Amino acid sequence: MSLSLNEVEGLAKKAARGTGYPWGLAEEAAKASRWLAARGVDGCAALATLLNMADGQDLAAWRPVPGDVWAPPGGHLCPVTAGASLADGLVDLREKAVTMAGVVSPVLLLPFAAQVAASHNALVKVRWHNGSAVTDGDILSLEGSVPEVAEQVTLAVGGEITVPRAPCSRLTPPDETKACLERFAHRTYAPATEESRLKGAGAGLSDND
Amino acid sequence: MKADTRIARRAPDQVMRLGRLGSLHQCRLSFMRQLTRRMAREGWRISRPVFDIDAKGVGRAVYTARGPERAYSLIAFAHDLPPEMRSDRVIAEAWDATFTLFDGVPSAADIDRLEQNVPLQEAGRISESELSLSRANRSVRLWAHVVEALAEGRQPDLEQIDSVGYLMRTTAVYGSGKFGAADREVIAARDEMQAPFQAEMLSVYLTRVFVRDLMQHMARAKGGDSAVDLDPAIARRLGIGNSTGLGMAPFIVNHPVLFNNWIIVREEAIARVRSVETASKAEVAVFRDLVARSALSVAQWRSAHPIQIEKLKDLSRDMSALRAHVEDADLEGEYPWDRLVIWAEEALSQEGQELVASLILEPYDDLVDGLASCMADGNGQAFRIDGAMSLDEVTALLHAAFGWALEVDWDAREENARAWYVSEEKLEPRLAERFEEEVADYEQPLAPGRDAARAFADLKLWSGEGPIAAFLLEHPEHRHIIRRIQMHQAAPYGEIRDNTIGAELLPIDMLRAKLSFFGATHFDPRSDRWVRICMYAGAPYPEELSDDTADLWVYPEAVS
Repeated sequence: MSLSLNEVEGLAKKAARGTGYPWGLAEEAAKASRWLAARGVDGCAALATLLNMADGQDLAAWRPVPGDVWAPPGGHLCPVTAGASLADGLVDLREKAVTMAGVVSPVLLLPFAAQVAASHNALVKVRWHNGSAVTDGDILSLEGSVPEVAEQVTLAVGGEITVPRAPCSRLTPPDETKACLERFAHRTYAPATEESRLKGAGAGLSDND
Repeated sequence: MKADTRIARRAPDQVMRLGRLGSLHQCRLSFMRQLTRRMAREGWRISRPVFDIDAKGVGRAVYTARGPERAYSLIAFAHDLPPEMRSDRVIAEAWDATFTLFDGVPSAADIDRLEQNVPLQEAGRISESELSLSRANRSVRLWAHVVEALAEGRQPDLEQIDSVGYLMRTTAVYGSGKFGAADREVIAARDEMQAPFQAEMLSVYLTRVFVRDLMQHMARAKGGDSAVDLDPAIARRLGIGNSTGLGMAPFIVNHPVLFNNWIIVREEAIARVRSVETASKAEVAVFRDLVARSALSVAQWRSAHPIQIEKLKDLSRDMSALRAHVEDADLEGEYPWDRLVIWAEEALSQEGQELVASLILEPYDDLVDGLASCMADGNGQAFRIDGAMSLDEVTALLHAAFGWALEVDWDAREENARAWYVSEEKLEPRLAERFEEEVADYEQPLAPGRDAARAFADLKLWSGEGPIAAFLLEHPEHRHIIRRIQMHQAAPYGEIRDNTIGAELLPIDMLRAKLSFFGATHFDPRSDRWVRICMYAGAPYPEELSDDTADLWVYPEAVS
C-alpha cells in the first residue's frame, strides 16, 4: 500500500510511543522515518527494526554515554536518542568525529546527521563496516548495505555526495513492516467502552435531524 | 511581517485565552473568503462535466474548477441512505453523499477507482491524485421541505430555510495525506493552494453547488412538469452545514506554528487598522453598512445549547450597543478604530469585542489582505531543538510562554480532571474523566501547560549556563515540551494560555477558534464537545461569482 509521507510520520510516531518512547523522542523517530522515506529509503522498515529490538527493553540503558566512544550501558544504542543528542549539538562534530558503538538500525542516524550538516552548512559522512552515507542536510547519498546493528558507526564532517537519491513523495513499505508498526501503534489506543463512545466524544443532542 | 504600527498587537496573554478563542468570528482573512476572492479575481471557470444521477438520487457527478494554471475536480457520489444509518458521528459507516477533490480532471477509470473507495470513507483508500476526502448528510427536515415545495411548484418557506441554513452538512473533510491523499507538500507551493485549507475550502464550495443541483434534480424527478426551480436568492442563503467533533480540537494544539500564524496575522491586521489615523468617509460607510448586516447575521444565529444561548444574548445586547455607539461615535476624528476597540473592551462581551475586531478590518483590504500569505506554516525548522540554548534561556522562555501554568496547582483534581486519548474504535481523539476512566496510560500530549510545569520542576535543579542538550539526554520525557517552549520564539501566539485538561474545559472553544479562521458562521454547539456551523451561506454560486460578489457575501443583506 502506498503511504503518504504524512501517514508514514503519523504511524511512526504512534509506533514509537507504543513501544515506550516519550512523546518528544517519538516525534523525532517520526520525522526521521519521514525524512528517509522522502529520499527513497524505507524509514518504516528502519524504525520497525529498531522497535522490534527495543520493545520491552529499558530504554534508559539504550541512551548514549558520550565519551570517546558513545557507548550505551545496555550494549545497544538507540539511534533516535543518540541522533537527537547529536542534532542537539551535545558535541561539536566540526571539532571531533564521533564514534558510536552497538547502534541499532543505524540508518536512522542519517536524518540527525543531516540536521547537523544543515546547521553547520557542511557535509557529514556516516560510516559503518559495510556501508556509508553522506548528506548536506537535504540530499542523501547512501552506499553499501545497512545492517540491523552496527558494531561501530563513525560520524564526521566531510565526504562527498556521489549518488544523490531521488526525492520521493510516497512510501510503499512491505506489508509485514506496516503490520509491525501498526501493532505497536495500536497500543496507544484506549479500548472503547460504551461510556467513552457516548460521553468521550460528547454525543449530546440528536445528530439526525 | 513588518509591524509599521503605532498601536501594538494585543498581547498573547490577552488573546490566547480559551474564552476569547471561543468567541472568535470570521474576518476578511478567513480561508473561504480568500478562496472566493481569488476565484473571482482570476476568472476561474466551473463546469459540470458529469451529472449521472437517477430519480432516487443515486449516482455520480463531477464539478471541475479551472484556475489560470490548474484544474481541480470535485467527484461526488450520491447514495440512497436508509434513515436509521444517518449519523454525523465519526462512527457512521454510510452517508447521503461522499466526495473527493481530484487534482486535475479525472478520467473514467479514475472515477471508477474512486467509486470503489470514496463511499467507504475511512475504510477506503485514495491516492496522491486526490487532495481531500469528505462526506455529507442531509438535513432531513429542510431537505424534505425544499424538495416537496419545489416539486409542488412553490418556493420553500424562508422561515424554515433560515432556521436550518443548509440542505446538507459535511461531517468530516480530510486532507493533507489522510487515507492516502496527497501530502500538503505536493500542493503547498502552488499560488492557489499556498494559504491554509484551500483544497478543503474548494471542495466544500463545490459541494454546495452539487447539493443545490441534486436537490433540484430530486424535485424535478418528484414533481415532473409541475416542479419549479429554486429561486436563486433563496439558494444563495443556503450554505453547507458542518458537524465538527472533538477530533478537530487537538489540531490547534498539535500545530502551534500554524495556529500562531493565523492568530498573529489577524492581530497584526487589527493593530494596523487601529493605527489608521483618520478614516475616510467611504471607509466609515463600509464599516457602518457591515455593522448593520452583521446584526442581521446575529439575529439569524440560532442555538439550542445553554452556553451559546447565553453568549448569543450577550452578543445581541452587544450588537444593539454597537449600533447605537456607531451611530453617534465620532469615526472621523483621530484613530477612530483604536478608540472603538478600546470602547468595546469596556462596553461589550468577548463575543462582541471579537466581532468589532473582525469588522474594523473590512474597509482596509489594502492593509489586511496582503497578510494572508503569512498564514501557512512554511517553517519546518521550528521543529528543531536548539540544544545549545542555555538552561537559563530556556527557563526564561518557559516563563514567557507558560508563566500562567506555573500558577496552577496541577495536583488538584479539578485542574487535572480530564485526559485526552485516542479511541481504539475509530482512532478519534476523545476526552475522558481522568479519575473515573482508566485512560491515563493512553494520554495524548495535549496539556502543554501541565507539561511545562513538570519540566520547570526539573529545570530548577539544573539551572545555569549549561546547554539544554545535556538536560534533554537525561530527561527525554521533557523533550516534547522543551521543543514547544523554544517554538515560542517563532510563534508567540502558538500556545493556548489556559488549562486544556481542567474540569472547566469546553472543547467547543478550541473548535470555534479553528473554524472561525475557515470563515464559519452560526456556531451551534450540540454539547460541550461538538458543534454545528454553516459555511458559504450567502456566497455566490459559480455563475454569480464576480469581484462584486466574491467577498462580502458573508454579511447578509436585508430582504427588500
